[in-house]
Amino acid sequence: MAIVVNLDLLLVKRKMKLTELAGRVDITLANMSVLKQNKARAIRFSTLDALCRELGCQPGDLLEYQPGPPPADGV
Amino acid sequence: MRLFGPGSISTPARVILEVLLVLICLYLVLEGVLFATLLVDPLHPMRKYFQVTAFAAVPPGVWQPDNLVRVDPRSATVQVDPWVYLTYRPVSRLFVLVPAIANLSGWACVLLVIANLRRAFVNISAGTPFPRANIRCIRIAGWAILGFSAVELLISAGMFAYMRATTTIAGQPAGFPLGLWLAIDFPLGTIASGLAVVVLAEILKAGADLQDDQALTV
Repeated sequence: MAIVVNLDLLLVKRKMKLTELAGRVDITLANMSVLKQNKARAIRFSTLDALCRELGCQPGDLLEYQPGPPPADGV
Repeated sequence: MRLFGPGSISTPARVILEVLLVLICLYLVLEGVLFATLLVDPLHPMRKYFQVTAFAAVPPGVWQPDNLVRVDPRSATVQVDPWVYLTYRPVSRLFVLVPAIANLSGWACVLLVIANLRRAFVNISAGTPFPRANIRCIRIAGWAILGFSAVELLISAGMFAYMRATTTIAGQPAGFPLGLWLAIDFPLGTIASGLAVVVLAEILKAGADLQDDQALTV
């Protein structure tokens, strides 16, 4: 996936644990983990909104485009 | 999805499929014994359980065809009913072999379909609505049904050609009308079912893709 989620970087900057963020944005730890490990296929605007609010950042700080080969399943 | 607790929908269907699977296996064993016996000795008394049936067109002017039908005595014997429905019994090994291959391959396809449907039910019982393994099972079942129709059609056509070559009515080659054969024997329903099952597998694949997307949407 060419879109990378810089969640771990922002968590370090904000000195926040993943569990704490999950509780604040009301998302399960499993889903936060999917997001952090760049395994997510899609992210809802409501999730993005909550993350940006709690981390005090812009969507562009959270998401980054890194060009690479297209995924095998064409998605 | 499950009205009366886990497995309440899938279990009875699975039991039916398992019973069918066992019955078909037993039937195949019996058929195998019959075919093997007749391949060793085509005139064995068990030939009364073996028959190939066909209908023929009576030549113009023939009103009582039952005594006028002749078949090559080296291949089979034939009985005729008033509607010119011919019932062949084997004399030669070839007359046993071709229908045996047709019949056994047809039943093997049915066995493949039932086994895959049973596996699909087991996978559904495991919990996920669109398990990837089921798509493969259902796709195989669909192609098996289509394969079964193709085998049925080919062997039926072959047997017709063979019977046309060996049978005479009132001294004239027996007429096996193609139009009537297509109308009665053409496995249109089986082909349509096979195509429907293949399409169903593709729909399930789309469902599984959606399920994956949904699962990885945060």
